[in-house]
Amino acid sequence: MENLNLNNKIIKIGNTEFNKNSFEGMTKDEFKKLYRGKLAVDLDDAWKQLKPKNRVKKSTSKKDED
Amino acid sequence: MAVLCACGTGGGNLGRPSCFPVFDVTKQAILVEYLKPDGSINGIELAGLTGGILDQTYLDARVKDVNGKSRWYPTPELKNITDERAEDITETFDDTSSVFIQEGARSFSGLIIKGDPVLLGNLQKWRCLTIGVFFIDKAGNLIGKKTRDGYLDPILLQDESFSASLIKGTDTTKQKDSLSFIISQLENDANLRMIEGSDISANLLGVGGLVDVTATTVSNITTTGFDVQLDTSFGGVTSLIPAEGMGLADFQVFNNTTSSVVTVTSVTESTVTAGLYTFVIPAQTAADELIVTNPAVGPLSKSLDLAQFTVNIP
Repeated sequence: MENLNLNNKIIKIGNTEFNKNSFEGMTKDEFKKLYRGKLAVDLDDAWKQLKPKNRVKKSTSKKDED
Repeated sequence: MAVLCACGTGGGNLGRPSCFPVFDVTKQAILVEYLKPDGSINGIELAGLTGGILDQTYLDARVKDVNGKSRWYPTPELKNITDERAEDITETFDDTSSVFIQEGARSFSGLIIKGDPVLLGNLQKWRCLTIGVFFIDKAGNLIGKKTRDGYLDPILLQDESFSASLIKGTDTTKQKDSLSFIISQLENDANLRMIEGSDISANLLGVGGLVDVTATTVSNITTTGFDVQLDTSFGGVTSLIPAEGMGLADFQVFNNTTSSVVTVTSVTESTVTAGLYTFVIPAQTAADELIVTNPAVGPLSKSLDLAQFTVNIP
């Protein structure tokens, strides 16, 4: 079986441990639909922690494209 | 074990250094399967100790090993230890003189205070195995045998000698489990050695073994998750002690239908019902069978040993 080394992928919010990598490509609406009624914390707050705005994005500058 | 006569070299020297350590009274035993699955003795490779120190990382790797065949199983503290050899076996002649034949067997017994039927059942599972044992003494020394270079090995027990029983409480005594065994006749007390407590930085004295965890009920199963009540084997039949504090890293989910690992999205421990966990997983196909187990590679992060359970996607 594949070994999942989760130590650096886990974020704990309230009583829930999330695998951060599982939210790549997920929208906020999809997240809220998936977790509706399942978390003891506010879903908007949880989403903010899972999808921080300061995430490093791929550069799309013209210089890089050149 | 037969003691070889040193006919060619004479007797051994009998001097001693001015100061040297000795074993203290045993406080715990660590049961192991004597042989690993590869056939080698399930011992401690001394070169594998960081800086020659048995540290917490090493101890955790052994006690929380996901492989039960190579795991260490420390007992709770033991009381009223007896660890003695029977009288030598001799042959006596008509003139009343006698000659030494062999040493008597070394037998060990001890009591586990507040031992209960659950622990008793787990002790009884050892009876048919080829067992080795390390001892932890009061000074925190780890005692085994040194019969091969570079290793401290467990001491071999005589097959089928392991016995455990429940001693019920009385008006004046507490309930206990007793355990006893006999050291193999292949072993020689002269080979006993220890890793001194001063070379052990781990919290060895008082180390606890793993606690069994089973899934009592699996409910609310959908293609994207399920709830499961996880309990230990201890407690009343209607009031099992729940397994609390588990998290994402304590589980692996395997889709047995597609033969693939399912990366769990999240695990939530209920704040209302102790031991109730909600799993969220990527969408699975109807009728798939999921198997939930300990992580495939250890050591385990908690002292909880999950028995695998199955989730059938509706």
